[in-house]
Amino acid sequence: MKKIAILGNPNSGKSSVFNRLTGLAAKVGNFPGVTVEKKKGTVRLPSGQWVDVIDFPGVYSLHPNSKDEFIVTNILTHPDDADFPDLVLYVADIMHLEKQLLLFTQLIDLGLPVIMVLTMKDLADKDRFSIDLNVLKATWDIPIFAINARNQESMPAILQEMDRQLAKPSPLSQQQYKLSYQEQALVNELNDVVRTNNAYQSLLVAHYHQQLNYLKPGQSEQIGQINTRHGFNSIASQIRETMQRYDFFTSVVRKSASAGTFKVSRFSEKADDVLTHRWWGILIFVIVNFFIFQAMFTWASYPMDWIETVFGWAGAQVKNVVSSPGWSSFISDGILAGLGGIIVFIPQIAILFFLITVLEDLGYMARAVYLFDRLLLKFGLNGKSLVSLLAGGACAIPAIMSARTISNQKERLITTLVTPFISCSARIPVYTILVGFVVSSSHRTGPFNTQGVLFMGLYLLGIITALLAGWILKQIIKSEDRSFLMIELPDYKVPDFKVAFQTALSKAWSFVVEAGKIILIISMVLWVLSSYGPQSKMKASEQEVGQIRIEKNLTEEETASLLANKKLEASYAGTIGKWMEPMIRPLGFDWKIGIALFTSFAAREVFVATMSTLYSLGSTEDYSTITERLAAEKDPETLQPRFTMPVAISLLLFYVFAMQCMSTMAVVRRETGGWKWPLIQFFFMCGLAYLASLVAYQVLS
Amino acid sequence: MFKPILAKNLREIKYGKVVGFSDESISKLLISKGIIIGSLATLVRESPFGQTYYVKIDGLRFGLRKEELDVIQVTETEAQISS
Repeated sequence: MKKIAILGNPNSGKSSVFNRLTGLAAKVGNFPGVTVEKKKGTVRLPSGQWVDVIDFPGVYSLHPNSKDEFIVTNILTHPDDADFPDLVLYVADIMHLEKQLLLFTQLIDLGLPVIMVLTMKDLADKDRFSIDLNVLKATWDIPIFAINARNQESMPAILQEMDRQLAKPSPLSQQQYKLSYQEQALVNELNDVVRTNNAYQSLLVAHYHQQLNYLKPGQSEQIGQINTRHGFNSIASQIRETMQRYDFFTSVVRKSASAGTFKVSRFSEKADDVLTHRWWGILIFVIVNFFIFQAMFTWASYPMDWIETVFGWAGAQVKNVVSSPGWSSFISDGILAGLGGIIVFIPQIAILFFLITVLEDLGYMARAVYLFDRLLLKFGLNGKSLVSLLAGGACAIPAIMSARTISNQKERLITTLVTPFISCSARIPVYTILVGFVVSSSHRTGPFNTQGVLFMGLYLLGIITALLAGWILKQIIKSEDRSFLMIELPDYKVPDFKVAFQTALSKAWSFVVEAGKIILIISMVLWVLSSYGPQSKMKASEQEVGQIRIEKNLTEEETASLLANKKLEASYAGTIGKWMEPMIRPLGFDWKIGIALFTSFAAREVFVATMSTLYSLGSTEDYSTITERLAAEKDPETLQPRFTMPVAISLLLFYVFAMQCMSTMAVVRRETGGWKWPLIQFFFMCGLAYLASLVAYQVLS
Repeated sequence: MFKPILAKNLREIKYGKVVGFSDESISKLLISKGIIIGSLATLVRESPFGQTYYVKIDGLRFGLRKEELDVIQVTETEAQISS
């Protein structure tokens, strides 16, 4: 199938065009070998031909500056790449055309057939600004469309043009950039080492031979030697190239524009007077975030309830239908519980990313990055880390993946390492139960409910720790890599809700794929560990329950839950819990909490399910009931309540700090390319959790 | 009368025409984003936590760190000089 690449600068309206072309059928995956998101859709052209449309990351130039920008250069300099396009749809903002043609002229030099699509025509019309397309067509001899990216008006014509272009042979490369003598000599020699289609492609290979993953071993060294022999200065060459291109296309755009080529958005400037204001800016950011999190938790609570109900119902059905108790328990408590534990987070992740994308499309996120860059820099982070930190409030997995846009390796690494400190939504059920042991629900601090204040405090603690950990890592990790902000603050525009919806779906989907398989596997393993144990122990527990039943004259239901409890104690999970007990005793935890901590590694919210099984007479998801049951639990030796305020605080602190999510570790491993960092992260976070819980429990009790 | 062109920092004069850059690797990024020689630059404000600047350049707006801004060399424009 032929491939069409959508390319353009960031903020050019590229995503809207992609969305109009492919609708909701787009799939999100990764470019092979790298963790850069690839949006791909299949489109049927008027001729009946099906083509793949690929949305590439938005870049200013083929001279890349970050991991996700590099993928564009890597693919476009390699005609054998599976994603190498047969045709490019180049998207540019008509209002800022003079600044958006650098990449375009580079694509022309690569010999790629290009259709140009100019967006924001509606805004230009409103501003009585126009570009004479004939001037551009006469210069580059390519088809050009001016569209309003929000409606379908010009889409049929563009699709027809795609057909026409794909049927034509590729154009002969009409080099825009005139290579210097030195570059030409270098390129000539390079052609003996790598096969390329044209001189500009060879020049790019000379620039980036060290990073291009398709070069064979030895080729890169050879190219390096050629570069040295020719005294090739990559940066100087890039500057020369960029300036030469600008000189050319600026004059073309000026010739084509109706009046003054720089369109200044007065509205954006006025809005920025407030939104990037020293005080108002910060205050508005706080308010905006307050509403985002309010929306996330309130809106998501409905679908989350439905999901829980459906999985609860499905589990009950399985127990009715499947006669073998082992299998029915495995399916309902192992597989379905695991699946439910994944799917229940989809609403929150989707809503959070929907809102973040809306803010991004609106142009606000760039302002937030500008506002907080300097502050975050002090903690080893980058303004762009803000998106990760925010998203971490839902789930660390998509949050960590959002860090790919940070070009500095050290800042990206630190963002990846500290994001899990932000309290994700899986901690909420744990906090909800435990906060009840610290203060009663009726207690008030000033006008506020104390439980609410404590909740807020736990979140703040996570944020502060993330920043402090960032500061420590900043001192430890050494990097020569220079850090940049240099962020464009685009014109504010009405957000494209369809794009936001699609992004939300794709983030949720990537969460299901990334976290899903791991949570599911761990959920099944934990089921096995907590359902099976040494034969003799399991038998003994059954006999013990039989005796107690007779002695205390228990009902069938009471016996069943007592048996479940005793069996869990005798199981491998129980054995692990008991083995952990001496280590966690100083934190105020017993073996039952040990099991809960252990099972939390599937996903933190499993804590609630485990606790309700361990302390249950019948399992329940009702928090108030769980709290009551935990409150009734007595220490068998001292006969004092087991869940006291110090134990609850100790456990809360443990959940704030500990790295308890295997899926996050797996994502960190993938993003950092090895086990080193996830292991460091694991021991650092768990060590901190242990220490904090130890100090809290010892001081408070 | 002949007046020598002296490159200045945008933080000194707030508004000027870009005449050069003082750091190659930063300038490479700046020019790829459209901040080129001949661009008109205005420093609008400093960010709340300091040392990051809101800069208008040829109808575009950027958030630039101090180190990035200081690479941009500007001169007063004719309009500024005559006034």
